[in-house]
Amino acid sequence: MARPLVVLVGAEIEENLSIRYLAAVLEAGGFTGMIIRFNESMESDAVVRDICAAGPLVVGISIPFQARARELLGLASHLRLAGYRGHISVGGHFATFEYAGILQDYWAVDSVVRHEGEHTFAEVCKAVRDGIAVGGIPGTIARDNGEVTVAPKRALGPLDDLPFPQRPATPNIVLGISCAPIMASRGCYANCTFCCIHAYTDNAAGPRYRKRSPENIVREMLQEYRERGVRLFVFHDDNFLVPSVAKNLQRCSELAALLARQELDGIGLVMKCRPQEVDRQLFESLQSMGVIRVYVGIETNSDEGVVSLNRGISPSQNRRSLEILRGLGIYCSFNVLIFDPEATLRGIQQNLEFMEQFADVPFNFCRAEVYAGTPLKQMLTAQGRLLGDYLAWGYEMRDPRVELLFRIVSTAFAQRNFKPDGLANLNMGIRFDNEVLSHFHSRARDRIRDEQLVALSREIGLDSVAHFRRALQFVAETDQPESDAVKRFTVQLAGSLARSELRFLPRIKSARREMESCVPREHAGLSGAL
Amino acid sequence: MGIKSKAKKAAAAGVTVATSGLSSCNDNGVVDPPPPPLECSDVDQGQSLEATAERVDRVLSVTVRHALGADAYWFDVRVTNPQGAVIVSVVTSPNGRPDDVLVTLLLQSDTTSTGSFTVEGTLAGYSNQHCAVLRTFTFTVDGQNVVVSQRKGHSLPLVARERAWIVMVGGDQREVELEARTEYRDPHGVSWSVTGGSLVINPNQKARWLLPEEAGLYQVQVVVDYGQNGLAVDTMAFEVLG
Repeated sequence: MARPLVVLVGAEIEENLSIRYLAAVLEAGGFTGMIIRFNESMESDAVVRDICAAGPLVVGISIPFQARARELLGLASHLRLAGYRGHISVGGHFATFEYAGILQDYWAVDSVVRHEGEHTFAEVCKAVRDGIAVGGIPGTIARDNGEVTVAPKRALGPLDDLPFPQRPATPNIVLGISCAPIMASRGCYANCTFCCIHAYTDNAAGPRYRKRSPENIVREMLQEYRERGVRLFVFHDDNFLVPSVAKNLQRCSELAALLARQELDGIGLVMKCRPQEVDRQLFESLQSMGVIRVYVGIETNSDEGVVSLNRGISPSQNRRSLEILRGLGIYCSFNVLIFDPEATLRGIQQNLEFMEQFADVPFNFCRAEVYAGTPLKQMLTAQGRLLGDYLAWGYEMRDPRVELLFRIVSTAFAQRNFKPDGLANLNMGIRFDNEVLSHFHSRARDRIRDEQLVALSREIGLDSVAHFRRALQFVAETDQPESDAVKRFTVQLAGSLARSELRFLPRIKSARREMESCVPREHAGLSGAL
Repeated sequence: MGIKSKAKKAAAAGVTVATSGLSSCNDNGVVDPPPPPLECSDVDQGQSLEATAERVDRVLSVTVRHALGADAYWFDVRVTNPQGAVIVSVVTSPNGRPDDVLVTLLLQSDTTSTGSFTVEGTLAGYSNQHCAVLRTFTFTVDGQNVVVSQRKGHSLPLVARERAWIVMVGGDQREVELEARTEYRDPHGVSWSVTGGSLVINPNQKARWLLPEEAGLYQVQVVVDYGQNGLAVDTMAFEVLG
């Protein structure tokens, strides 16, 4: 008897662990889990066509953030218009919190799977297969015959109990090296007001932070190493570390011993952490294990930002973390939430000074967005400042000059900061490529290339800071902003940024080509193009 | 934002006077002039909406109406983000007037004195115009008196955070055909510029770019102007190989 088919829809720029874990649990439960990629709106018709052609019993749509919620929920409506009559379930962070609006406005959706969905979604699929009502399954909000049933939350289980995620036959390749995303923990101990991870785990029925055992992690790494030739493991943990050097060293030591015992050598690791967790001894150990890139959650270095975003971190800890990593020669990058509801022109200047000081470290900057369930949303609601609706929350900054600055900067920097092929991403990417090349394909680091790329990053960083300061000066000198003058300035700023970009792009392309030429012949042809 | 037509607004005002003096229900041989067509630039994402309210105990009945007297109806409408009250019902055309929405709210308590809700949807005209609407209304309750008004944000430029992006829709080794895309539905202007070669601007937000002969990286930039709602900029680089 054929296994019932379940389609899982989500973005898959790289292997999407969230839907791939779901697929693995479905497979273990007697279903066939088919993943259909939906990366951008223009793919909608093809996705609907593919789903209808497959004719699944259930369609699960992953909606992690509000940014694409309208598009992903629209897919459910399009499926109904195209004649799909099976069960449609949505899940992810966004759906977990905004289920009331979803079930009110999107009649195409039959159920919402809240929080971590592996076991809940599998039970939904079994109920649909067996003709049993979905309402009442722990972790669901379901609509049956027009009635909405809110079930209790499902208790979070141990991460070691999950099967390893379903993987495609061919992994992603970076400069000839096979890589795979992986996670060693879920959740985060910190309390940042803007953070969806904090909100998500705090609202769930279970601990806010859970770890896999080192044995379980290494077993998956070994499988990937042997079966798909993976050498670069990208840890997607919300936070790879905890606020204790001793505990981090202990876990790191256990992982290192297990990796050595399994002869998992010649691997590279990528991870994320908070600034106060960066410790010299710990990162020396991590470096010797193969860490080649660290994403450091700086987020803000302004006096009011660390308070209003509840970072629990001081500006000196931010600086110290980057200085330690710089001293060890570990490549890192960071992001700054330079705009938040309480941002001031003075605080923005402080953040710009920080970005200038660490311009050699690739960075990006943006506004703190309002995610469902977060303390930031609660605060803005209580203050009567929350704008929009559940599909697109927003706010205006308290200081009108900062609000105007945000509007100018977000318009002028749209290409540089927010597009996959924008300069901010290319800057981070070329530095990462250099680490991959140095770690996997070179006997010794090419110091000249290292210095050239660090200098390029610094020039790009300083260029962004300089352009930002032009906008800051314009706003500071403008008492009564007049629409046409603001638009003229914004277009000029965007034009200047574009001209700068044209200076940097040939250098990035040239470096990339040179690196590709250094990849040994047996790996050549496996590199993604710039 | 398109150009606002003062002539049409004057016509709309005239119609209001005429209909108030000559009821169209009387079969007296007088034919009312038709209402003016709907203009999205007048709707201005809901700037044209007005609201009135009545209170009975904890129930607020708010009527939201397109105030310019144009020939319009609600293609779709949602009321979201209630603060200080819960939404009981949303009914379009409650008294036969197609541009009305009756929003019934239940105040959170007897002492609730203020709150808000957002109206989002599409106001449509009978000549197939579709105007996006997104407005937040606040209400203030004082005894049986209720005042409803649109929430005013900072009156700053660049209000919309609309995106625009360049898409290559065709081309070959020597020239490319580009299109500026945006989800903004109201009238807007599109202007192109390139760092080399030449441009032929076509209607429908398209441009044909004849690439330069000389090898190198070149850039095209588009600026999409949404009038009072701001603008969006996008660039795309092309490499001409030697």
